[in-house]
Amino acid sequence: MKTIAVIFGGRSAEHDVSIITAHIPVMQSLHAAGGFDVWPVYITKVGDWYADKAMNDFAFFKQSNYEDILKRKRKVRFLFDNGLKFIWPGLLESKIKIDIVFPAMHGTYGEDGSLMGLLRMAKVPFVGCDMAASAVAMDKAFTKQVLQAEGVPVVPFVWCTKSDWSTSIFLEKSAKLKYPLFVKPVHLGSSIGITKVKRQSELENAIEVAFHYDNKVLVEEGVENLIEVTLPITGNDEPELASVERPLNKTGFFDFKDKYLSGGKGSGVNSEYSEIPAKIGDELTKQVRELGRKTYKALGCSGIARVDFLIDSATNKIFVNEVNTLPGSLYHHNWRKSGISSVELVIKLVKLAEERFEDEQNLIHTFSSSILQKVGGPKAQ
Amino acid sequence: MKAAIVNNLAVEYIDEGKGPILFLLHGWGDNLHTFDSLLAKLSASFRVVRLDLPGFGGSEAPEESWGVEEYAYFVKSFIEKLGIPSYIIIGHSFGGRIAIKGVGIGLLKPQKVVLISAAGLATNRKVRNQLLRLIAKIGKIALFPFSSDVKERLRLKLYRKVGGEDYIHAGALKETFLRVIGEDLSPAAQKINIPALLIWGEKDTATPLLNGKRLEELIPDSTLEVLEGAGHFVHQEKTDSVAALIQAFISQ
Repeated sequence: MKTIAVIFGGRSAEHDVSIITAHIPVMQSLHAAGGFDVWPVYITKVGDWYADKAMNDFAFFKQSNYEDILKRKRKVRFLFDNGLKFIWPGLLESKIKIDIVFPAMHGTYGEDGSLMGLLRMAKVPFVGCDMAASAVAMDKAFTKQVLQAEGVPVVPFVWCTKSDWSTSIFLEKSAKLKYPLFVKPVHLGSSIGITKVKRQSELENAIEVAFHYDNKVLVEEGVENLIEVTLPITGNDEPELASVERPLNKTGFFDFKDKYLSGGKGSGVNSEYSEIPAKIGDELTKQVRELGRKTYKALGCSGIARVDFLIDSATNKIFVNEVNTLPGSLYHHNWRKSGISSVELVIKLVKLAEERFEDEQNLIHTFSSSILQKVGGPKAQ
Repeated sequence: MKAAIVNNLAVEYIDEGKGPILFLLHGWGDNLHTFDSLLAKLSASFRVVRLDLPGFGGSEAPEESWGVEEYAYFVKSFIEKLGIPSYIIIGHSFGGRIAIKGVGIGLLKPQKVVLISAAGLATNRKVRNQLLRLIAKIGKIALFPFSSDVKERLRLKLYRKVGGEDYIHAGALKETFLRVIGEDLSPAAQKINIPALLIWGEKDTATPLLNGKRLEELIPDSTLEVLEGAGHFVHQEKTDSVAALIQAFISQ
């Protein structure tokens, strides 16, 4: 039996969505698969860590006072000792060794590479994209810069950090873009702080709104005659593509309210909100799949990711919009329509994590050198 | 829906229509959509600006507790941010409170003011409000021996007994709620020196008609219009009548 820790919650605007992802489908499927000792690890909004099996049940988080209940429990500590161990200190100290970690966090401190860095240091296999891909994908400007360099089409954009913000210079940079524009905080998901700008007089206010949430802001051209589609992908070296999916919400924007709250009965994701496969024709579907694969490889994704696209339906031009390294609820509704059950998906992700970990262990990280002896300084006594 | 940063708080608002500007303030626990039906009647002839007040709808809550005056200051900053030159202010319930305070102390300078079922006068609710404040203050000490679940149940029972539903649902704004209801705005109302239209539902139980009558006495240039059979949300219950009253008042 493998001991697996599912980490969720965290200091992120998407904290609550992460609780859903962790339970539906991740822990639910791990329990259904059997062969796993599942340890839920919950990080509070202020950054306290708790590991307790009572949290295996989603009902735990439906209690209005669950935060108070947790406060009465012991926080979990970690030991990096050629692997990862959980410790609950105290008179009756207890320890468990973790064989694999399943990060189920969205947004800052979880999906942005921070957690992945911690797990790399702990030398424990973990599910999903590694640190570098997660960090690049979390930054919408970095993502576009990498993709542009790799010849993947993205809409024209400019970016600015808060410390470099100067109205005149940035407005001059933005002047080359065609309206309507979208102003976005580069690190946030779920449409937070995003403004559609139709004329220059609205631009400064939109940038101020984006800087309220982030220190870096992206301004990009909107796409006319817009069709949005998304493509979930799994795999390490050989990406496997799910179905191209089109959201059917009114605004055409990928929004958490639509995905999670529009009536899904316990499935975690509202399966009524999208068209799978998207009816965009064979040629566009083929191009989307090719660009999805290229994007996944260009960013160095592994395990799982989802690539979002913008299509101008009049010109059939396709642009990659952004990459999500932990799709909400793993987009299991899409995989299911592609013939892969949630249990199969989760088991596959665990296997991919172990394979990547093994490859990583086979790399040479240290080598002998005599550099220390050659450096001058006081002689040893 | 648009967003703006005002005094370091992100707020959502809607700005639509063309013509003289109406600035709408919603009630406690409510949001800008309370005026949706009224909008349909007014946006053809007016530019209507309405926002989710801090702590409500899609707007961020203030980090510290606010009183009515802080809300009035915020509204002033918002109006300045949008560069609204002249306007008519319309406030429902708690929004009416903000309008009375803001206009009364000279922070807000509209051409006219419309108060719909406005709150803010110390009347028969004074005892209830004082009780709520007392329970909030001593509740923690008195309930100390009980477990957290029992404490929560007892607290809710006490608040319901004194009619404190708004307090129960105030969430993070509990302290703000206590500050807001603790202030009698009679002195501010007396200082309103612009034309005021008061619209009340005859059967309003949240801010009973008595408040409307008292405000009519306090505000020198004011007219009270009472709509039969309507309650506290008179602008939703009798939208046509309320819109007609507002239009007639503005065109005077």
